[in-house]
Amino acid sequence: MTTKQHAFFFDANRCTGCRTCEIACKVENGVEMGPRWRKVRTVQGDEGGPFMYHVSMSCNHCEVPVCAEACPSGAIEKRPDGIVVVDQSKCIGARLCAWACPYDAPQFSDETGKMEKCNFCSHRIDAGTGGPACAEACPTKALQWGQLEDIAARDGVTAQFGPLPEAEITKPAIRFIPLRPVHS
Amino acid sequence: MPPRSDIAVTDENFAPSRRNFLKWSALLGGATALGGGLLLPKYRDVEEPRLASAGQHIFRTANTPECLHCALLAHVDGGRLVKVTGDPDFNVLACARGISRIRQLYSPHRLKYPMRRAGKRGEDRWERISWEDALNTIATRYRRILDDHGNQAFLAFGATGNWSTLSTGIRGLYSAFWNRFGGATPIISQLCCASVSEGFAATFGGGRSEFRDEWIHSRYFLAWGNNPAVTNQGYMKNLFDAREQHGARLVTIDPRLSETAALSDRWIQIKPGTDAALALGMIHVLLDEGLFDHDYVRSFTNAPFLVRYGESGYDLQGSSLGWPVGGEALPVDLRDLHLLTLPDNSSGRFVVWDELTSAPVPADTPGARAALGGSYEIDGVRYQPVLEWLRAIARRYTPEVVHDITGAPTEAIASVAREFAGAKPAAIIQNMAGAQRTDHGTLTVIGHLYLAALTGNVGVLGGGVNDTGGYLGQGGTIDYPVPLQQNPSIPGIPCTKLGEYLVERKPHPIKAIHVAGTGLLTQYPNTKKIIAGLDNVDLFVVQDIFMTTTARYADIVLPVTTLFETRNLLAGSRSRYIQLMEQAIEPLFEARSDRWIMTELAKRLGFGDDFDQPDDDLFRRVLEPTGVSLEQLEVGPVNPMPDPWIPFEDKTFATPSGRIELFSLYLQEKGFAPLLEYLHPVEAPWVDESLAQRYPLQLINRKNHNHVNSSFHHHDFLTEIWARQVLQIHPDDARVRGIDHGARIRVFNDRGAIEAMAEVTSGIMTGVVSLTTGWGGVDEKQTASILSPDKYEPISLGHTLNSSMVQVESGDAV
Repeated sequence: MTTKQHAFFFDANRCTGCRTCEIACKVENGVEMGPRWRKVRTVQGDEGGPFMYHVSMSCNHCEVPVCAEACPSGAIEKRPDGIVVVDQSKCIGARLCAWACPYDAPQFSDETGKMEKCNFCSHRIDAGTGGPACAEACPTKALQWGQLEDIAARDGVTAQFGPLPEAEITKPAIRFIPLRPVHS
Repeated sequence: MPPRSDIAVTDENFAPSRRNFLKWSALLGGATALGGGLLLPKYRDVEEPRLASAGQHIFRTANTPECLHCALLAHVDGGRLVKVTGDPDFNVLACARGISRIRQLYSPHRLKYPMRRAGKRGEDRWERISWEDALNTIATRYRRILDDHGNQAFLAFGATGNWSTLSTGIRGLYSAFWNRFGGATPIISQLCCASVSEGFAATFGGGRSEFRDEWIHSRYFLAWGNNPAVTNQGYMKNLFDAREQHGARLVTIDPRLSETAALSDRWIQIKPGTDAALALGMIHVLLDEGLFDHDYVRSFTNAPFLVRYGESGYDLQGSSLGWPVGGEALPVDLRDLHLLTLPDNSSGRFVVWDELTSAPVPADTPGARAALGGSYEIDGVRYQPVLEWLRAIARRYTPEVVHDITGAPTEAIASVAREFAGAKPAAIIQNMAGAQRTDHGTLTVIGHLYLAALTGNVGVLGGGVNDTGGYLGQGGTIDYPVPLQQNPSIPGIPCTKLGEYLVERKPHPIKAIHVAGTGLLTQYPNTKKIIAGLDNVDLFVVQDIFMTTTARYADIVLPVTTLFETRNLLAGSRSRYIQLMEQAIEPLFEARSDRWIMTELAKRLGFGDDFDQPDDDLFRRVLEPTGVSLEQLEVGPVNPMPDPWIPFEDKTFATPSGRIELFSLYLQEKGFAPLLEYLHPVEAPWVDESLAQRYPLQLINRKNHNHVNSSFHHHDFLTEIWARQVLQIHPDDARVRGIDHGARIRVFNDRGAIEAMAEVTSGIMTGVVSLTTGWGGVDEKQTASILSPDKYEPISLGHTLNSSMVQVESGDAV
């Protein structure tokens, strides 16, 4: 157990689905077409009236990184600050991490034949120049970053909502505020 | 929340990837995985740019289309743009479109050099030519057309693709070029906000109001017929803060579960084009229950002004009881209403009934208490206050009647009216709404303005009708970069009738069309007719960054630079801020700026001197009326407006009475009814039943996060997410047509047909379908404007694209 754990915060009531987080990630990290380290998914349904909300998610830098356990070459490491990183020099592109991850975070690059994923913009964290580009680019502050213990202490947060996989499996370092229902 | 089988979790245009499909499978209900979209070559295939400089620099620039004008930072390393970020110190943070511009700059799809058509128009066969050849050819042929046919033979389009000073911006260099050219056939009215402008002119005497930076002060938001979560996404933080910190409510009126509706406290679906009936239903509740602001209405509107019907007056209180319900024609002609005036020409010439002295007095008489109801006989003639007439008109719009017309729940009409009246300040987010791009869109806007005025929300911090605006929209002014000249006036072409007028050579033949920054063939309605009309045009020149649908039909295409490759100015057309746009890198390929192209043409046509001046001299001329200096702008964006900004703060209005005119003299003079009354759209299934047999579905156009009008469709990061034109259709309408979620479909009417993918969703009304407007920058088979009606709005002569009917069927044959 680490003393520090970087984490994300996402408020579905402030997300317009604009995907600025996705694009900021690509621009900051030079991610080519194909892999998407962060994805905004749209959840739609009809129960008590039609509803729709968005979920912006990348690697959740889980407290229990099952991806690292699944990796046959020891390429995935959880840093002391909680960030889960893929060592490209060790990755053999086996894709077992992708099968293990319930959040679809690790992305296979056709270009390199290896896995890649969100590294919480560790280059910015390490250089002290800021946090993850996605959160810093969010025009509505729906997506934020911080330390897990602070974020988990916010009012109304949950580790699990809507269609998300069981949080108990990996203990993701993200907390959500679910959408308040719309009255139609 | 337990997993449910009726939820769809999607990405990439609602098509789940296979992995998601497996992983989140318990939650997916019949969604079909659809990959694909555009196969764009890779970024790294683009040739390296010439190096502008060594080392790292951050340059300031700004996003120029008609959106939020977000400030951008261009990060350059060794002459290559390596990153684009939003400026964190600006009032709004740039969105996906702005920061994806790095992919526009280095896109392999950019036009690289001038080209001349080598096949048929639209065939996309080209021959590379030199700039010298291109410019000389255009200048020579323009001169010949000018000699033979005069200036009226030219049409010039310069819209919002690059809405900046040295390009096609408001009072920009491109407009100045066509002025100094001697003029061209004007386009009458406009596609975007004609009905907003007319509504404001009719009721407030002009002006516009925008208070997005002040939304934190609003306690109630009525997002009416528009989708601010997409079109004002940067400002939504203020709305969300008002909800979280002050309990403000958000109610959205929209036929579909838009991004805004989905986040709202309440969502009210109405049939497209029936907004004014809903407004009258709400007005009825306000007047019937006395929920309007009596003092405000008495002081700042012409509601108490006495009005007479015909020559001798009308027994309003008695006769109006027999009037038919709302939506049916009145037995009186509202154009025969006349305000009682004193025989002078002052703004105080209007007359009210003073309840204290029981006598008519001039409207602004100190100490008088103007009656807001009743009926009064003066010299044997019956008069009533304007509000009494509004009351009689609105009384026909009971909740039940409004439900029948609009489809809105009966209960919602009164409850939203009461909430709106009870929460102050209250804002109607109008924002050049899709709801005003309808057959009687001006009436929709007037309905909004009435509601804001009756509740005393105009001229109040955080209250009123939030249109769009920015510095220029709020009364600010700039100068043209070069001096203008007086030209003789030339008869114009109504904006919606471009195709018809070109085909029929009305009002005179057009020989040359010049287009910059405009999706002529993805925005102007009844597009196939415009393409047919091009057969009558001898020379069609398009300058753009990409080979757009429009450029494909050109005779000569000219490659234009992106905003990183040129120095420019963005003078507050849709933002309060004036911004300097620094050049970050050298132009790629043979691309040149709009400014360079127009200057070179001006030189060849003999009026180049005023254009061929240093950029900064032109900027100083533009900035002169603003009080902002170029030196200030070198430091960063400048907001020349008061902060906070309260539109109409002094509550005086540029109307004949100086008040808000519920009774609009402006409309009366133009021959329209001076009071609000709902009129049905002509192209609607409940109106044109024979058309409805062939095209039973109402089509509305929506905006997505991936584009502004036709711009941004060439950014691969965005097309990776939003790959195709998507039609939203209700499950009931899809089922009877055998259309599955994700199916390829054909959408058509008498004007043409397009291809789309079906999104089957209960988040849209039955009988209504929705397409993305402007789509087709890349693939013209997906262009929704092909289906749009060319009928214009009767008052504003504006666009009516949301009063349209279509049919939908399986298959992709177009």
